[in-house]
Amino acid sequence: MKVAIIDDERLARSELRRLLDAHPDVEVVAEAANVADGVRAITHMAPDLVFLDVRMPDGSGFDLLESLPGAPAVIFTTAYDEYAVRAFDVSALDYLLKPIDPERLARALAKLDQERQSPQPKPAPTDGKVFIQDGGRCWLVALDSIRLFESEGNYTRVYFEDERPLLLRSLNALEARLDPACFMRVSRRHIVNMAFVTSVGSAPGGGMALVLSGGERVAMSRRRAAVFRQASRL
Amino acid sequence: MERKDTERDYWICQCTGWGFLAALGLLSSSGSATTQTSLRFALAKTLCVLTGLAVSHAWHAYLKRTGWLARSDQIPFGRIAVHLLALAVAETGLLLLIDRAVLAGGFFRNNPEVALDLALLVALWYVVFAVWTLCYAVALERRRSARAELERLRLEVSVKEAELRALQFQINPHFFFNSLNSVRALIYEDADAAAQAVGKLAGMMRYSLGAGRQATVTVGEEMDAVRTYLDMEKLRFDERLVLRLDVAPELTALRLPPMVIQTLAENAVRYGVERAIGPCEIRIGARRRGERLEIEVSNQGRLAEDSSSTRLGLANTAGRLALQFGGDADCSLREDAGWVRAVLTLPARTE
Repeated sequence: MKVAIIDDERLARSELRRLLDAHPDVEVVAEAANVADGVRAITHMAPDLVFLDVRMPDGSGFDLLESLPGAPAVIFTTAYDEYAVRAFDVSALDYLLKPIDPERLARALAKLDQERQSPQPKPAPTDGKVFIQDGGRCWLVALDSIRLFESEGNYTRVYFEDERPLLLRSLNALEARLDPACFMRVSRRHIVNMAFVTSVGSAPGGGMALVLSGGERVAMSRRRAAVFRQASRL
Repeated sequence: MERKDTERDYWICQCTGWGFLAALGLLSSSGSATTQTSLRFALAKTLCVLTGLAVSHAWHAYLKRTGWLARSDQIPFGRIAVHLLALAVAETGLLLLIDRAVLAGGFFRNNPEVALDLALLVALWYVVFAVWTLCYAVALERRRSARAELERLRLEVSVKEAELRALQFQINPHFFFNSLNSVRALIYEDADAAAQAVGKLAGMMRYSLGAGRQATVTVGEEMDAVRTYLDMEKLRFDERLVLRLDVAPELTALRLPPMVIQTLAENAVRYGVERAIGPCEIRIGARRRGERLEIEVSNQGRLAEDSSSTRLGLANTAGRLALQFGGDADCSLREDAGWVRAVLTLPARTE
């Protein structure tokens, strides 16, 4: 397993490396001491797992995750950030408290190993997750649970379950990552997950209106509507 | 002292009230026929007022003993009404005695409506004692609420104080656990350095535990603790933390509240070093300006926009300085040419 260690303290990194020595199947392929270097290291080395400090000089571990196109497997390491840890959906991500207990580390690695090795059905096209932080809260959201992306300038509002946080990424940047078979750009401002469309109606002027399972109504431009009709005829 | 005050207030009220009645009585009889008769009447009225005072004082003692007015929501009005009647009858009896002694029993002579007059007298005194009791109850109630308010304020202050203590003298847990983590790494890298670090951490812990028990420490003691603290942070941040201390030796005997410089140093690390990717210098300097001691803790960097916690730390520091020195101490924070400077000024004292 390839791992990256991102922590601004040299001793903290060397301590974690020492602890990981006990796990021969783990290889530390990258280290970084701040968010910017961390993003570069993760992008270049594509590690299977990232150990991520919460407090770093140029931002938080959450900031780092947010600026990555996808969310890698992450274990947060933190000395005492009870608020940060509490702030996000703890079940989504693992975290270890420094000084790290070797047994807890072993358990976290084993859990990840199990997830990686369990025979998974062929990854669905929407497989993948996106990390979002908005205000004090964080989510790690499976793409296939997202109904709608709505552009708000440089931000995108993400609709899933009962939540609708803002993601610091433009709709265009997001579109490049999404599988067009499931996610359809229905207008300049919207990308819809077709799996959540419950009904389609026509709108004045030759356009169409989609109603999503969350009750959202999205107008589809005329040009897109034509493409949509074409696609659904197949 | 409070007891003495309430005692005094009680007598002032008593004398004012009864004095007022006496004056009223004397004025109303000033137009009487002969000097001798008017003197007798004046004497009788004065005695009247004095007995009233005595009876009301006895009533006061009785109320205190029974505690009838101790709680405003549990006043036994019925019993008080009955007792007031007894008081009025007793006072009327005393009046008749006075009448007999001073005016030779003029009340009963040539008086066809003795019974009615007696009843009127009793009623009059009933009203007087009822008013007296009402005034007394109101005064008691006001004192009680003032006392409750005072008690509440006292409690609030002591809670705040405890909170402040907990805030000020607790080792920052983020720092503490990170330090333990560094020490554990050092054990494998450099056992001697690890041993030293454990000693330093112990020293810091001891200083911060002791700090809660002392009102002031010397600048020397405080600077030793700050140096130990920054040594530990240096372990964590390596070359990112650059330190320059400039405290003249002759200042080390001056005194200040404990953990004051420490708090500012912690802020400098938290908002300067922790946020710097490259080296960040922290300077701690102390100088004497006449009768004042000026301490400056500065770090390279910018004043954090979200610095509510810095300001809280600073506000706490300012509050503690104010407790110690009144308005004679000052604490300020500003950004200046790439440096964030916290400056304390306080009276240069050695005791």
